[in-house]
Amino acid sequence: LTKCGSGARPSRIDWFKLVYSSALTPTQILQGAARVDPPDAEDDFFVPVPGGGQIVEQQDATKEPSIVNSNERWSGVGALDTIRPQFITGLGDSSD
Amino acid sequence: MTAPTDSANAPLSFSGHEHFRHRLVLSILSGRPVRIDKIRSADANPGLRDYEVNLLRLLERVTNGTVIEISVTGTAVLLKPGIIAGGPVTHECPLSRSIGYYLEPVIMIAPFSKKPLDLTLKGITTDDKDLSADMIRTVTLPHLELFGISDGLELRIKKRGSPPLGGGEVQFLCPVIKQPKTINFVDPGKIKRIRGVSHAVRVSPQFSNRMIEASRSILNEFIPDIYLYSDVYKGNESGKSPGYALTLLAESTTGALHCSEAISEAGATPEDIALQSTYSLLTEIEQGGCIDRLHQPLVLLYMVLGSEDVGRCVMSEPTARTIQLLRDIKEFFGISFKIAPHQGSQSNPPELLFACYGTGYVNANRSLA
Repeated sequence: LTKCGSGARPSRIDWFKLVYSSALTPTQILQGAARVDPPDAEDDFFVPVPGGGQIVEQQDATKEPSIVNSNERWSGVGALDTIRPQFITGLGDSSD
Repeated sequence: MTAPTDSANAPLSFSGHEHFRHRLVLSILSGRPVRIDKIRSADANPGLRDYEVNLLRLLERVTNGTVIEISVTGTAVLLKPGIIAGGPVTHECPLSRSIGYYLEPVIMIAPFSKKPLDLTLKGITTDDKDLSADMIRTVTLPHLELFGISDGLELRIKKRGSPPLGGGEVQFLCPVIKQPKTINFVDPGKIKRIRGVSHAVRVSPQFSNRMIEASRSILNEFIPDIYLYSDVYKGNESGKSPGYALTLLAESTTGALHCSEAISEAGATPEDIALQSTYSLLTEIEQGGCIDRLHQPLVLLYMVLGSEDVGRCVMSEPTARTIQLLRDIKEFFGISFKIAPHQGSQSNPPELLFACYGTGYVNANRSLA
């Protein structure tokens, strides 16, 4: 399963369907459950539920761990250059 | 999970302690009673925590006529909302959560009070779970200005209080409005300036300067317009425990705000904290959108409360809190958002356009005054 923010997501995700029609919890949605084909119940009896193994007290916290832990993302060589176009000093597209 | 009820007047029922705050807020704003059960019922220490009970007390004081019933075991709570009264309120927050935990739901309901709210909260002003006083002052309140709430809106940090002993004090002043404006915020723009507050209490003031230097060493590569303010409190204003933190804010050419924060922790140097906060800000900027991820719920809620017109806003992918809020908004207000990829989005994953038809929510409490 892909993790939130790993950049391996397909380009088209039907968020409306995921939010309003899916039985998945928000955490399962973000952990990529929706991007895995539903297993055939007759083929696999034991189906791992994404995030199901985590028994962590959810504290109704505003700062989510995925938002806080971002050091690894930016410590690589050249990582900072990927965000440069989002600043006024960076090279943008021709429409800017 | 949500279990819709048959009657519109019967309490909406939810299970579990997650998303406790925004369900209370939605109940108060919609006027619909809410029943939340199975609160940590399988936990070794079942029932409501002290901070959740304290929040209920605070909401009881900010409102008038609200009835709150808690079961004997503390695993179920029923809230029948009254009117949002406002006025002067002083409240002592327990040390298990910072004032951000309490202030966030209050900010969502305060503009719809009968009288302007003058709320003084005492406790911890910065922690690693909730919005800090600095973040609320510099980012959350400016988000309210998008909806026409600005005159008289202020958060004063009178004393800072770091965990574990706190000792901080803030004063939140909020005006009364009749109806939030409809927003049409679809251009994230480009980041034009970065601001920040580096604060240190009961430690060497140099810690604050070290955080600023470390953060600038990275941010200077992107943009020249950077101003990081060193905020050192002394004496009685510095609370009861040592601590320091760096709060950063990036503003775009169209007024989009992105923020980040890191606070002191055992074994970490001020430079470590500064890098953590700086990298978090870059992650936020990378996500794109017109709204910071921490503030998606606030903006979406106010879009629902807007006039009977289509409100539109471009955001990054929703967080878990946002997804659940969208589901709960549908339960309380019957409003669904249209969520579609934003045309022309250059970020990966692509930004999303959230659009909804406002409920035309009018502050009925204000007309009673």
